[in-house]
Amino acid sequence: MRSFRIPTALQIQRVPLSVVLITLLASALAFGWAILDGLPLYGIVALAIAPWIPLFFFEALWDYYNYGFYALLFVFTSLQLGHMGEHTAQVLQLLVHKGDARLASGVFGRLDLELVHFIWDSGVWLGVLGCIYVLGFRNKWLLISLVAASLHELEHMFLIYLNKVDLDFYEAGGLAGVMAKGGLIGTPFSRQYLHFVYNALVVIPLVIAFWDESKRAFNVWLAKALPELTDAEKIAASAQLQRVKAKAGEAVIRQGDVADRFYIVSDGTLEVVHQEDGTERLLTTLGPGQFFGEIGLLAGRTRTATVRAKTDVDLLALDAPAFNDLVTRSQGGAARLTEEMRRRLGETPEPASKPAG
Amino acid sequence: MGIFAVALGFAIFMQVQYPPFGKVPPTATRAQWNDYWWLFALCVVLVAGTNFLVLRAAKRRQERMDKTSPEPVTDVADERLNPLRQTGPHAE
Repeated sequence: MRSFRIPTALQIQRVPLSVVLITLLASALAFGWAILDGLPLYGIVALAIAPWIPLFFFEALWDYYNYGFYALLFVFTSLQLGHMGEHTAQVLQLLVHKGDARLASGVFGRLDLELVHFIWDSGVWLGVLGCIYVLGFRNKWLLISLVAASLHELEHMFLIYLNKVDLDFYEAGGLAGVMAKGGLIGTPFSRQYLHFVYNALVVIPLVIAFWDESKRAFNVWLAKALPELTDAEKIAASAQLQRVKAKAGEAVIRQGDVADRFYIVSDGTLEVVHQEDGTERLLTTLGPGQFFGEIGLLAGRTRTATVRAKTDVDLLALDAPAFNDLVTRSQGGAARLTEEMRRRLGETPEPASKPAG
Repeated sequence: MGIFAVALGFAIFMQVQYPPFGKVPPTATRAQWNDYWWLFALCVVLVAGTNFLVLRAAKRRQERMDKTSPEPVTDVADERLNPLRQTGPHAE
């Protein structure tokens, strides 16, 4: 039996768990208060969602910085899931009110306007097209989603024209559009149920496509630092990366310490200095996409230099077992790291008595 | 696809059990609807045309990327990709 595992790219990485728990508590309190205060449905939902917005924003921003386009797919899929939620709410309201359409406008009923539907669904259609443009044809689920989004878009293009140009006809039944019951072509589905089905047809393949992409996503800084790795190696190594932050002036590794981690710079700059006889010599500076800490791990020696943050820095770290695993598995990665180690050792003076390591 | 079957089944159940009512009943005639076939055709052309253009661009982009995509680890690749590369002989 295969074990279920959430892909690394999909895990919350930027926001600490404590902040997630505080947000959850705030959301629950806001939800409870809104119900006790008798707020309308949209007020209850808005208050429950509001605390999550900053967390979502920061996480998505971090994802964009570390996973590139995948983060946009994450935001797009999340928004579309919310849209599906709105249509689901409307259908559930119809269930509760036994089909009374006057009492079933979804959660945010004030936005139940033809123009809003048109803008949103055009965005979905163009968004799916954009995803296919960037990711290519490797993800067949996106193509299925595109077929459904295109049919849905066609429907809303038709509807917005009637709504803006021939309102009398629109109100006399034109709002059925192309495929709803009584529409131009027509099906047995009334408009509310037809659009629920349209959205399910768009969202379900989109979510599957997103899940597939989550399993393929790898950290862009790892890819920049070690472009020789294959995609499979980048994905496997990305799952092992740990986020490390350091303030300006702080030493990330110190000369003579035991080597326990390999680092990739994702933000900020650091200086590499060699200390000898109480004096420091600047060897180089490192910026985003560069790495350090490989010498001690590859050569089995202590740190040969001190690496100090010049600015506040964001680093990605691989601990020793994960780094060794990467080097063992990846011929290209090992060659690149060894090459760089040799080059750097050529720059770092060897101690007189014993290896700097 | 099981989830979609559930969604479709639920929509069919709702349509049969609780067909929506309560808004103004439709009075539009078939003749009025027939005035809008041109609009339907235009929408089909717009959507299909845009899809065609974007998918063609995507195909070309993919072909371009396939031509330049990951090359094997060679000295040439290292020279191109490694900004820190040392051009001289390496000390052991």
